[in-house]
Amino acid sequence: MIPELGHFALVLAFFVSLASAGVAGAANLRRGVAMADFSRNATLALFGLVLLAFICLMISFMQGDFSVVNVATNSNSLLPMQYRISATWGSHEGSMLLWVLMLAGWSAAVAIFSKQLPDVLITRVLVVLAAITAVFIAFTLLTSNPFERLIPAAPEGRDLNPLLQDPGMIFHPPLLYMGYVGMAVVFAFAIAALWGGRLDSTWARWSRPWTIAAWIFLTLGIALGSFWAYYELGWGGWWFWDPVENASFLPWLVGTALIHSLAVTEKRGAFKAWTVLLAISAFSLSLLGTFLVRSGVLTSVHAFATDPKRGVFILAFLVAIIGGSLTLYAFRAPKVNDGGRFGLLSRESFLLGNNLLLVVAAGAVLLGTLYPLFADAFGMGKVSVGPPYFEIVFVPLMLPLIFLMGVGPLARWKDDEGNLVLRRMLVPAVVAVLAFVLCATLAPRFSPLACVGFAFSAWLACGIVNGYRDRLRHASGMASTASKWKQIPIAYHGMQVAHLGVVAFILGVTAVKAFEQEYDVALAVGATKPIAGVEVKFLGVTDVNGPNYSAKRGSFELIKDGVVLKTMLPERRSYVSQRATPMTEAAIDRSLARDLYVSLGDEVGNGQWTVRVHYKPLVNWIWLGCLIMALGGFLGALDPRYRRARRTATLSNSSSVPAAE
Amino acid sequence: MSAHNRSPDARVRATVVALLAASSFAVAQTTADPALDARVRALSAELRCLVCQNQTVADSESPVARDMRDQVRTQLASGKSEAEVKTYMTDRFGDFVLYNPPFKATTVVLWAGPFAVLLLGGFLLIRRLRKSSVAHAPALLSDEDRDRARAMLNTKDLSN
Repeated sequence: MIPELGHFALVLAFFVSLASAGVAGAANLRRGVAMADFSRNATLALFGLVLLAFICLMISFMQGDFSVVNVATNSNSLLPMQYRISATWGSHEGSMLLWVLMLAGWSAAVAIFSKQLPDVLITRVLVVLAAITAVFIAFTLLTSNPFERLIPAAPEGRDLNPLLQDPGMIFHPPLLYMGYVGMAVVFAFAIAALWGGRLDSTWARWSRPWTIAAWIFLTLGIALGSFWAYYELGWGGWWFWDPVENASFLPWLVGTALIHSLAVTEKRGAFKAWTVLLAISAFSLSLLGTFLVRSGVLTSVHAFATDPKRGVFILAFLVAIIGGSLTLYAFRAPKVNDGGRFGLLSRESFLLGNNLLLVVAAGAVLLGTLYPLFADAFGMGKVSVGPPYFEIVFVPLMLPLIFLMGVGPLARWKDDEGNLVLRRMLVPAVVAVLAFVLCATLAPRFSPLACVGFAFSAWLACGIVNGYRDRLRHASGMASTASKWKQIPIAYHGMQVAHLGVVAFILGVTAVKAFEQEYDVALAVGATKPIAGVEVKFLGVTDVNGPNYSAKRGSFELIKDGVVLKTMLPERRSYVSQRATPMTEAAIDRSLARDLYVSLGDEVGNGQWTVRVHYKPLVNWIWLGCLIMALGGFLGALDPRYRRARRTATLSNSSSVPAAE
Repeated sequence: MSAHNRSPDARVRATVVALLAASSFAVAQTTADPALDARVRALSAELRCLVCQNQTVADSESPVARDMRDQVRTQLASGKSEAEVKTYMTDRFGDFVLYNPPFKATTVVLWAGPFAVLLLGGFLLIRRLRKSSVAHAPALLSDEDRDRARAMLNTKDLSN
């Protein structure tokens, strides 16, 4: 009964979204009427129905109703409750429903928090969102219905993929999807603006907080996924340049470019056409990511549910979205006055440089990800493009970007003077050179990579400090430093905090890459492995049983100068449902300075076990850096000017009515 | 494009083992030679585990990956260079085994593409900026003036 209720709610939601998009869209196109209230209410109803469908699926999972195909294939009577809940989105079908729920949720948020926006604009935004929702609900119902029944019911479920039975996996997909789908809101704003032919700084101001919100979720989702891969996949890497990871990284890169370009459009009225193009690309890349992940055209460690038929559907949608929006763009963009003149040396130019580098980086990642497909399709043989390629291509693109991050925020808008810019670079440059020298002399061994990384972090950190000094010096009047500090807008803090996150991130990445130690050893009971100033002593292996698995649990002591610091208990689990492939559960001793990572392998005879012991200096700074970046985004979105927009909005509202044809 | 190698397949493994001429899966993983260890790790991080979904030989725990690691170790220990071991692998498994695709006719776009786009983009950008700043210099109206004027005219030019 409950699955049918969910199924019915989803079908109803499809018709509501179709009606919402169709009626309000046609009314606006043909008569220039803005049915804002209708669109708002339809959006809220849509959200309610999708939420009901989602709850119904969740209840089926919680009850372990094996007469539902999706539950029977992705759950098990032994599965603990928290994973039964997360199994709701652990399968392809369920994650599509989650996707639709997120989309309806974002639409509802737009409907609720957009009271200050002109009716015409909000109607158009909601029409675009409802149309996208309709397509995705149709996709879910037609190709991946999570409510399909299994008759007769299975006596037992096949269990959730053991890799997904982890706390990180409860939160990773929702966060990531919030980010992906949030880009749909940005896209809808861009289309609505093109639709009305009104691309101006108010449009930029309205879409900016939504872009930042989506970007925050994307950042957190990617970071959590990387964190999960690090401790769960069992071989100590944190980023593999896997197609599925790249699929989430692409919208992030373009979204980051978009946030910066929106800043220029909002403040200076420049780059309008370019900004719209970025908004369209960010969502298109989210869709492309979905296509790559869902269709199985690329081999990936993360591909859990693939089916070529689904790929065709998404590909068709992708072509329609990209083709349609680019056509609209081609008609409207040339009419846009790209306003705001600026000099060769100005903050605008630096931000354009940032955009160029980020977009080229995204292009390189896309090329590397799709190249094996092209090569295969054009008969050039099977090739693999992996981490070495991406590192070689990506790093040279990121270094100039970090260079720009150090000078850009200090440059004046519109026009700056060359020797002023140079003078501002002097101190950071000296500090960067110092950092390079310090790293070269103090580090355990000379690593050019680490020294360059440290130098660039120092450069950027120094740029941030300089930025604040500049702000305090030029704040108005003779006020005290404290009151000058208060005059700094919160969005400025947001930018600087986000950039600080990049500093932490670079430090973490380069330290791990340059100074990590990895040993793959066979240890007998009682043997020790010295690593980075401590000793790891192997005490033996015991059998333990979990709710739905049995495991070999290794016991290791972490010893420093004869003192036992900690006992580490890595496991090798055999899940009841998947005996063939054991899962490693690494034991990690975490600290800000370093991680010590022990994972247990196989027994190799004469009482020896293969053991992986890793020393990962500053590895936690990678994810800490992402958290700080997200915090910066949060501060940026809090800026009161986004809430103060009401007055200006009503002003431009009156001028936008004639614009509605 | 087939969804290849979804799970370690015994037949594939037999082929790989035969091709590698690796008879045993001896645990040659502990040696007293850290320099060799480092070389083995670096090289196997560039090789693709042939039966895994998308993992390097260094990362994978599958038996095939272990055989390949052993093969790399044996060959490096016998005095072969990294390049020779790579050639040995590509002779048997093709370029598919290399995660770092070699630079040749079929990969020119892959390797040169991003940098060509960057150069082109940078060139266009700077040309555009030059033009815009030249146009900017002799302007009689300041931008503020122009903005104010536009606001007065109610910006009809943007709407249709």
